[in-house]
Amino acid sequence: MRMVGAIGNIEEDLILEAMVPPKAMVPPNAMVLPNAMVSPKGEKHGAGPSSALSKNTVPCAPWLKWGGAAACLIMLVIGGLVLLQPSFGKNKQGMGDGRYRSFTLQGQESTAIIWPWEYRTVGEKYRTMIVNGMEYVNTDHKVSEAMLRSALGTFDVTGYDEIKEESHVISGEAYELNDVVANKICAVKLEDGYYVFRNFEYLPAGTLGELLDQANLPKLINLNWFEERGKDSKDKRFVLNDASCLWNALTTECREAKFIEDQNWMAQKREYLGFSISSEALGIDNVALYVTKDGYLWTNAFGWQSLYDIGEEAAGEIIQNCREHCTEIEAQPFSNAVIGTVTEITEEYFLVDDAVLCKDPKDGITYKVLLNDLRISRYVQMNLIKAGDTVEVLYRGQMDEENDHTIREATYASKVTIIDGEALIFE
Amino acid sequence: MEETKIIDLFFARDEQAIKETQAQYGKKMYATAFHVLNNHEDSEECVNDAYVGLWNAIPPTRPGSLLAFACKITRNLSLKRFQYLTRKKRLAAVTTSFDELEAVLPDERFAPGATDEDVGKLISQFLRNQKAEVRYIFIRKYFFFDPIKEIAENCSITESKVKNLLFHARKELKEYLRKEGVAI
Repeated sequence: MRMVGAIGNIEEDLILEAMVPPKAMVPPNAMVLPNAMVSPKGEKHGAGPSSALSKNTVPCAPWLKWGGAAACLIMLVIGGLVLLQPSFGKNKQGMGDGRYRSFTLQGQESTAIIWPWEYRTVGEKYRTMIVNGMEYVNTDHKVSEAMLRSALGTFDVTGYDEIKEESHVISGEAYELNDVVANKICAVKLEDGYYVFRNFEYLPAGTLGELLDQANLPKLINLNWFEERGKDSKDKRFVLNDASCLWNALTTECREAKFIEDQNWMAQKREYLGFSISSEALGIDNVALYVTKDGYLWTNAFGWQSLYDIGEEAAGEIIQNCREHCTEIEAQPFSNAVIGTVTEITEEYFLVDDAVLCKDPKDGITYKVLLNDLRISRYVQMNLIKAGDTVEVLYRGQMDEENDHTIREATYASKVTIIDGEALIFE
Repeated sequence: MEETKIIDLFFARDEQAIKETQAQYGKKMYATAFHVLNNHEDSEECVNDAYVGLWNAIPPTRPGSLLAFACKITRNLSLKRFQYLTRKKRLAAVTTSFDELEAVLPDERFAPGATDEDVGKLISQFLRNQKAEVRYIFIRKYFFFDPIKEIAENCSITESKVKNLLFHARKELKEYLRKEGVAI
């Protein structure tokens, strides 16, 4: 059995390569996606050919390269009811109005797309910058000019085109940001705005006080909502009436709380308040901050885990304060989605009709998805979405129900198949 | 969702990471487990365990390929479960692959100090020097434990050709490992 185990240690690029038969073995009538598998980090996989045979996908233009999973021979089955329910919560397209039949959603292909350089957003193009020997990584979040402090200088900002295997370097002016030290976070001026770059070197602050000195969290962080989780969790969401319920104790009596180096720590086994937090300056949106009943503060606001032992007493005080000064709110979906058939594509928009999901097709709604953003228009421009396709479209913000059910901030699309049947439920 | 973004979700300790992994790679992970265990319930359990494994491993690990990493974890868990099940006399067809690998390098022939990782690297090197089709067939058979019939269909070649290629690959690998000093 040792050989069986040894083969389990073969290098990952070889495993990826074996996801699809080599080109020479693909029958002549098969549809072939281009070869050259590229990892998300831009490393090419394997010396041999690695073309992608797809029984379920249409041929793509030769400029399009896909990530390791691009050649899904087997359709992926997603529990539509499970995954879509939260997505449908906001746009009222979903389960609550009773229009939909039970269905299962299948993705027709992997969507690990490596976009051609010209189809990438600025934030996707320019990813890294070296300052004083430290690598900063683009969070792909913009920050307003009002948040900038002093200039740090001009530095090379590098991007890599995995398709043409070319590096692209531009100069970017870097700036300190208000209320956060520059060796953690800075802003860099690129073509279309200021982007938050984060130092990804693992440099945890030794105490919570040091962390607060590095980043003025009460000022920087927006507390979106929180939930109580653990054995008595009630599946309800709340907003704090006063953020000081959280910050007062943390910024005073918890300053000496020590950093805990424990990568196996998990909140899920504890009772805790789980906050959704966002911060323009930190380049984060809807990440987590936990206060656990057994005395820990945990957040991933800096990319890595930041875990501090604040003690049960302080944690209990915070939890109690938050419970007493909050208001229940309606849960918001993680992301908004519409699913349906593409019925028309113009230069400005495409239409998605969700009749295919409905018990009675007459109840279908047609959504107008504006092509005003490269992140969505590229799917059409590159022919990845065509009239007649069944698609899932993710979007931000609100859908304009009063105006042709218009979606103005679509960011992602993929082809899917909808079938009747029991949904797979992930526990 | 792009793979890097799924990994970012793991780093963000966002449980959506599991759902996205399931959506993107769940079927492949299931197939990996099923080829070892040949049982729906056991395979499902292994895949669910693999999601937990991914959750625990990322961070700190930032895999170069989430798909390959997920398949590795699934395979390891499936093999462990298989060992447990075979102790209960629930044999699966995958034992044929085990026997063939055992013949390449029996446990008692591993050189002292040679770890599974060392041998894994050597097998990787060996495979890189093989033709692409041999590499593909070998990995599908002995990493993913795909049935011969399935490999033959995917490659549009006969089952006997697959067997023949595997036979020669095992023979060459055996010699290669002996030359590299990990087989005594």
